[in-house]
Amino acid sequence: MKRFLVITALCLGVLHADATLHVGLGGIEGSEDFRVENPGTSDRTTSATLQGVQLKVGYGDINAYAVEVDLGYGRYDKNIFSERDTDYVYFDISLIKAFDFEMGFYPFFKLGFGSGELEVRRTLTKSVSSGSFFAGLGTYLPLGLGFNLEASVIYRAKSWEDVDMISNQTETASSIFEPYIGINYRF
Amino acid sequence: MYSRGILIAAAWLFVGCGENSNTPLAGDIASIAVEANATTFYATRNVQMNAVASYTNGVPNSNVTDFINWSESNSSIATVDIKGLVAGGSEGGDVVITGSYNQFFDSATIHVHALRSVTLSIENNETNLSQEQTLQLQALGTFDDNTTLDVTESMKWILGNAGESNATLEQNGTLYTGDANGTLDINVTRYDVNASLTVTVTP
Repeated sequence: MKRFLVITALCLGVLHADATLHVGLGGIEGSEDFRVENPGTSDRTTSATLQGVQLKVGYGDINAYAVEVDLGYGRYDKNIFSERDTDYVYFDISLIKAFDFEMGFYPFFKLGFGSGELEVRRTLTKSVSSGSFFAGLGTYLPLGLGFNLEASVIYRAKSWEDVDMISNQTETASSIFEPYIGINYRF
Repeated sequence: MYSRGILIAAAWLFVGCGENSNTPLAGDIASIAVEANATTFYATRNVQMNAVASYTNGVPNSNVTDFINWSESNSSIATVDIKGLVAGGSEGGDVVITGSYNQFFDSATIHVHALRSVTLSIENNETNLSQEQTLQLQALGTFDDNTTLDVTESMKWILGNAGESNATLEQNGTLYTGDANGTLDINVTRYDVNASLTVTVTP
């Protein structure tokens, strides 16, 4: 607990310099590689395109540190867990470090983790949850009046909830390079 | 919920709402099938139930006997344990054994022959025994179809009237007469079916 408080205090201290609140909206599209281990069969793999939108709220400096929470909604173009996989809703927390090389834009890298839930139509469950870790690169391009364009790509590794097959489970993992483009507004 | 609503509305612009038509990678449970290793049995014996789950999308069947819930339609005729082992009860007749897992279930009907009477016999038919002798007793049961079977291992054996004697009676019908003179009452019982035998122990 003490360590957590110290780290939190340090982060807030680092963030405090010229920190602002920002909100953003953008879209993602990427090809996610799935590996499914059904009991008694060899692994099955496929690539499914994930398209989605993300709403984000962050606090920090455009050219230094920031923390951000994202709420996303998307859909895959293939069924993975059931005959009718539909809405995928996810939530991320990121730590961002941006740089000012005085080039008119601000490159950054980010690290984070998240969780998600995919709506499915399985016999024993109607949703499958996931946990993920991610890291990525991107840049902010100021547009004026507090707006900036954000473009980034992250690599995300996901572990999906095991699904019940009575005597055993089906295990699933996936990974995705997830490009994002969106607009942020800084207060 | 409000923010999720905004997201979903925005997503329609980006994502659309079409449905996928491919076969999913993950298999799903299609059904459970149960069967008994015998359709008729005598109440003092057991029948093992087996359950197999079948799946969609080419996932091979799996034995789920130990993972589902088992129940019987009439516990006076038979009971089934969590491993699917069926034991006869006090009455004869048909009993339905059901295996279930959430909304999946299947049943099998088994006929149980009830035990109607039992008789006791002792090694060499000798009821005048000496001290510190070990003998084997046997219980023969007659069932409702007039079949007679050895039910020695299925009965509850009770030694009465032992007094100060160190005589013992094991649950497989083995009698040790002990080191004291007197009479020993030997009883076997299963539900309401009983039999008894008295032996005399002398030096």
